[in-house]
Parts: sequence; structure tokens; C-alpha cells
Amino acid sequence: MIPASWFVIFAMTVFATAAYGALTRKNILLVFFCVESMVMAASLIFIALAKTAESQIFVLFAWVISAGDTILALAIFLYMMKKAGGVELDKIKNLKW
Amino acid sequence: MLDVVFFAMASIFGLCSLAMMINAKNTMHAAIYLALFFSSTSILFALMGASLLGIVQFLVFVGGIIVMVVIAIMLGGSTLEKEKNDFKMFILAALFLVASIPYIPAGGETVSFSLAEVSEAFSQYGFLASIAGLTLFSSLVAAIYLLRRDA
Repeated sequence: MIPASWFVIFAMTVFATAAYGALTRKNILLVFFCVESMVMAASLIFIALAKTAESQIFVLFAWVISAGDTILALAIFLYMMKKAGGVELDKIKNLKW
Repeated sequence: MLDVVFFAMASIFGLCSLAMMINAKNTMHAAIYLALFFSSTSILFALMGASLLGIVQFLVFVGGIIVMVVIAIMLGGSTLEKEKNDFKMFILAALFLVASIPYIPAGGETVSFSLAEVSEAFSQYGFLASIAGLTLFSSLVAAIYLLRRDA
């Protein structure tokens, strides 16, 4: 049996790597992919440290919310392609003061 | 021993695909690498005993969300820069990983569901599942409104 700490260490590595990617990449889709990876890492830690089977239902609900934000992120991506003509986050500066 | 081998394979594969996704210049390649990352995490969920989550992740994230992302990338005509990538070894590794899924020793420190428990759990949380469905529906409506509106 694999100790839960192994999964936690892997998930923390994934989270750190994905956080680095989310902070350094300018492509909106890649930032979103990194955020999704962070959500996966958090789910892994949650299940690794869980003691009951109902924790899986909790993670399922978290994934449903994540799917909702996926839909909106893709809509924003398509909107950016239509309006700004590119997907770099530098192009979104209408609210910059 | 076998579960340690699977853990090592899935974790190394997952970290490599995550690193390649972050370094990808082509958005479509990044989406494929993300799908491979999700596949490896689904194997890890199965190793922990959360086989329901492993299956749901494979079906929903890899089969649904990544497909939707790929379609959105094709619709948007995003930056598809020519990137010289040799996928052959990666695809071989992915196929080997997927083919080994039936041999994953299920079970872990998390308590696994039986089919009767799954049915009971979803009937107990049916109201919350309806609310989650409504949340998804509202995000879908918002996405449609965002794309229909001329700013």
C-alpha cells in the first residue's frame, strides 16, 4: 500500500509547477490549463488525506464547479479572439488606469 | 510492489506531461499534454482507492472538457505556431499507461465505494447534485450571452 504522503508530495509538486506556469505564461488558455492542474492537485491532496468514501462526492461537486468555470474561460477565450485578435493577456487592458 | 510501479509510472508521466504543457508554444499541443496529465491523475485516484473519481475524471475531463477545449481552439483559430515536437515516444508511453489500467491494484487508504453505496450516496446528495447542475447551466447561459453580445 502506498503511503498517503507520497500522493501529497506529488500533488504539491504538481501544484507548484502549475502555479509557476499560471504566473509566467501569457496565453490565456495556458493559464487556464495551469489553474485546472492546480484544482487537480488540490483534489488529489483531499482524497489522499480523506478517511471516508463521501469525500469523493465532495470532490465531484468541486469538479462540477470547475467545469462551469471551464465553460466561461472558453467563452472568454473566443470573445478575446473575436475582439482583441489574440490570446495574450497583455491585450486585456481596457480597465487599466 | 505493483502499486508502487504504477504510482511511479503515473507520477513521472504526469509531471513530464505537465512540464511539457507549460513549455508548449502550440495551444493544441498544450491541450493534448493536459489530457495526458489528467489520464495520469485518474490512475493515481484509482491507486488511492477512489476508483469512482478516477473513472469520472477520465470520462468527464479527458473525454468531455478537453474535447470542448480542442473544439474551442479550432473555432478560435488560436496561435497554432509550428512547433517541432517528437510525439512518438510520448504517445507510446501514453498507450502503455492506458493499456495497463486494468492491472492497477485498486484500493488504498481511502475507503472505496461499492455500487450500492454509490446509489445511496447519490440519492442522499440528489438535491446538491441538482444545484450543481443548475450552476453549470447558468455558466452555459452566461457563456452564450457573452458570445452573442456585441460590445
